Amino acid sequence: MKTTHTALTLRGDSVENGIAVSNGQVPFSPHSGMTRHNTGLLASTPAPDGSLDKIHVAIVDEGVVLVPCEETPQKELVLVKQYSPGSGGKRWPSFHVEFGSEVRKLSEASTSGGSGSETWVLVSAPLGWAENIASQFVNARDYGGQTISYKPGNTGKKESELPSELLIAFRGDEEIARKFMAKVAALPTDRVDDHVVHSCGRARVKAHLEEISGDPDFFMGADPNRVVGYVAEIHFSNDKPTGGNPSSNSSGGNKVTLGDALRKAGLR
Amino acid sequence: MKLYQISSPGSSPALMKLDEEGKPVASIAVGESGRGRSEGIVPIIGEGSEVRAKKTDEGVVLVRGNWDDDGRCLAVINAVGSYDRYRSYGIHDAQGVQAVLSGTIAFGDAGRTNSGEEVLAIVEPGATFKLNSKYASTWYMWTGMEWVLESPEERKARLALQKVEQGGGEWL
Repeated sequence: MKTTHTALTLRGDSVENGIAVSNGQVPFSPHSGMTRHNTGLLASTPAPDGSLDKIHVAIVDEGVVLVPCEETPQKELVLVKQYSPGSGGKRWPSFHVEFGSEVRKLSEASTSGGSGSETWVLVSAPLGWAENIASQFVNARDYGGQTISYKPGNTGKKESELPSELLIAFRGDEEIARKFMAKVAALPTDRVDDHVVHSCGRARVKAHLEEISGDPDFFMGADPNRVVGYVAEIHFSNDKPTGGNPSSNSSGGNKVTLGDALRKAGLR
Repeated sequence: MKLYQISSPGSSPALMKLDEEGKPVASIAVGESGRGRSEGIVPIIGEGSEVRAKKTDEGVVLVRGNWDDDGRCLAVINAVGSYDRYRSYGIHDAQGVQAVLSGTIAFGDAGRTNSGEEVLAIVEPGATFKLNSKYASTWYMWTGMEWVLESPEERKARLALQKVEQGGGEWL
């Protein structure tokens, strides 16, 4: 009894049809890390160079053999390319998968040393598995590494009512994001300087908000530039039901600062 | 028999010259001398394009001539790669390889760190063995006509395909 598999390649939030073949093997060609040691054999195949589409899978002592066929697929054969980014990409999230009992791991190959690392795993999985994993991965800078498990019936990224910029700034940690929202809400609007919040750089924003909050850990590890937009939205939003324009409070009362005047005149 | 040399793990076997600058080579050395090491000197006598190894009570001699040896060859195999404290340097998983003489190559002034062997061996057609370099391993196979080198992955891929073509294995 042979089960027909459809071949897929999964990398982060991307699922591509087919598995690449070169010189009778599924080649291991990572983007990050070094392959100076023997990496491990992913699979061999009698198919010519190109891409495998539908296949039968055989297991022998030496490894996995993929034989092309033309039948209706009942399962997926997924080449899962797990990675931790190397230099130049360290702020992008790593991608790893927690393999449950729904898949059968067939082979794997890994980098050894160098900047970043990759481990590719070939698995036999139920139909829709790869799309399910990919749909959960958030590929946003500073979001934080993710280890994703298969959640049947769960298609699409995890829904959250929290602002997306805060989730990214706090690497997907909703609890810390909520703490930060509470801290921002507690800031005295009349002391939040419109100019600093809207126009100054990271260091001044950090110093200013830490000073008026009295909290040296106001940002809790987040990049001030990532979250200052949220502060502005809360304290200077036009929709905010306050008695007057909150930005006019930045210097107290209805006085206009020199910075505001220059900015309005297009000189700053 | 032709006389080959594998100068380090991973390198392609090369025919050893029996004549240099018009003069016959008098001997070859296996291993190296010094503390923690051992060296064997193998004299070469006679004339001809091939050699045969002859064991005497005093040691091994290579005798040149035009021998018919059914695809066998002689090889000087250096199994020692770059310095690594713990890497296992030797001739691994050998089949069809008969060592005639072996020497020792070591690291460190006193030879007290890692070491490995250099071997003069008779290699049968179909013989296989594996050598480790510092980072990788290489399989060698002597077909009787030529040497074939494979990485462990290439070897596994070839053997796996052969098995499936012969009806072996488990289908998913």
